[in-house]
Amino acid sequence: MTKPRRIVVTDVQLPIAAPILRALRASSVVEFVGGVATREGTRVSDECDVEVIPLASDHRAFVAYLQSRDIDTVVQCGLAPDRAGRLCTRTEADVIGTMCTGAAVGHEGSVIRNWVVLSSTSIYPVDSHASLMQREGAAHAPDPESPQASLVEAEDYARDVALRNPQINVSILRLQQLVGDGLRGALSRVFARSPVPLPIGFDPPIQFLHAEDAAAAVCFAVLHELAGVFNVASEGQIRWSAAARAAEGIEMPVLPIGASAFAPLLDRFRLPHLPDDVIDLARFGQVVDTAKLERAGFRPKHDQLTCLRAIQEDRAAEGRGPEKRTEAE
Amino acid sequence: MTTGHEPRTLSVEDRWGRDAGGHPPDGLFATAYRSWFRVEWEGLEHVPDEGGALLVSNHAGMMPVDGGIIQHGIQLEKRRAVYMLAHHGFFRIPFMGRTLNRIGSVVAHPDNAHRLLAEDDRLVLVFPEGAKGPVKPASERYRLQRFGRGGFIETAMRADVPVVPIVLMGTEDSTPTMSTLTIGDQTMPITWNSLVLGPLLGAVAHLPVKIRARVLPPIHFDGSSGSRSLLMDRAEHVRSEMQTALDDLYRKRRSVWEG
Repeated sequence: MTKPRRIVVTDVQLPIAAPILRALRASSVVEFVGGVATREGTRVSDECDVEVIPLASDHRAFVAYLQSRDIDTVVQCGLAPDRAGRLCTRTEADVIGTMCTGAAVGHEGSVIRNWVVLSSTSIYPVDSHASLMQREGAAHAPDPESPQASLVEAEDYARDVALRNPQINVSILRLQQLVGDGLRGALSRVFARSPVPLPIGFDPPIQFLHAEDAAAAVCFAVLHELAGVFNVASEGQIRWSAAARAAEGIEMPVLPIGASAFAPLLDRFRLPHLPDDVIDLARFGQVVDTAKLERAGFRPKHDQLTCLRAIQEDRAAEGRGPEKRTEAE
Repeated sequence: MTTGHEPRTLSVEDRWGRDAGGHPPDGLFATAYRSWFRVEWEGLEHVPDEGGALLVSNHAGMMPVDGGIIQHGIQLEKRRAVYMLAHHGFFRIPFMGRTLNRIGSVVAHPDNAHRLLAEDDRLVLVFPEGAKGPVKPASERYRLQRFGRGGFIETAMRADVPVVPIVLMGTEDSTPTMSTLTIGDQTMPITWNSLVLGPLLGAVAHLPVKIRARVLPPIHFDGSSGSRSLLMDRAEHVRSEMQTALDDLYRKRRSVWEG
């Protein structure tokens, strides 16, 4: 008989944690799900028992937490999309948080079996010379000052923990542009607007990931004790123009150039524009190959159309109440 | 055969952005193919009826038609789509990248080539002369330039598909390169057409030369060796086979206009 699982989810102040906590709690083989918020004073999910442990200052408190609750699996949300840079607006991903989590996971006497690290597909280049579909093994050497570089560094650290601790299954899940459940990634923000901006002269393929699929992939990685790096996206891909039509907003062609300096003015007159962090996406797009995770047995429930429907639903919900933020800061 | 993990696209195009029909049979290009260039093929039986194959050809001109000629001809004669690998710089130009995608061009990237050949079992067209082809002067037409670093051989070996050389006679006369213009790190050909007709019209207006295409027998390379020196040997082998065929076509040609 499978031993019941005892799991902790870190960085529960991030909204991506909420659907993951719900999905894990719904699993019959999960005996305990705890949450750790890594920042003081942040709004936390009410899905579970949450403790605040600022990981970046001292990982020993987290070791004590893991031992006291007999935790066997750690799910780390700190590198998830948006936190990792909203494709370039942030300066770095949470490398130190990953190092501290890794140190606790690989601590002497640790009984951890699985460490699931949520990362981001923003690790891949978005450019005209990138391949159409990014594979997990694709070599990339980002600018050392970019958030992508810190994602690479954090992932390298997680892989090193896996090498030094062969008894621990370390799975790195690279999440595509998140939508649904109130989550707002860089791209979903663009498609939630009306009019939806259409980059003149470009119509690249893009891809979303529904929050439910993200949560299901985490559960799958935990329950199947996956090891390795995996791309995660909802089914299929869609052209920008088709996505704009599916979002059912008004569409308006715009120049594919950054207009951040004029953004307040453009917003005031409800004129569409492309935020700086999605310019390259709007010109060249990005699609990831999810075959590796599918070969492991995971199938997403949502396709790109239902992802876009989720954006619409969130937009409608926003009209009825306060906006949920991607990141509670 | 396509991979079981092929993502579903939500339009009539395939996942590479290619419209189902490629070059439409009744479109402008089809008319030029038939009536302007009067294309004739030989050796089409060497193009596999199924499975992946890497087609390689000679390349020249400011807006080369060689890719379109091969794509359209094989689609017409063999009912098989040909995907052409194109320089990524084209995909940075507004409208150009999308248009190229629609007619079956894909960014020249080793992963794209491998996926097309090994997973999608497609015919993939590449020009090993690269950017050196279009800028070679008219005096060197039909003299094949160096075949880069032999990357196309590596691609074929990795995907375990044959290399199928195709030589075109006529295309290098349709826009003869008189000189070159270098701006930054980009070198562009100045063709006879653009000197006479201006840069815009000269880029698209091709002389009504007769085009003959010859497909050479497929060449299979053993994929067990990854030595780069072997890659160069093999690339040179392909280049010399193609050069011999080009020389033969050139010798037999009666005139540029009549072939």
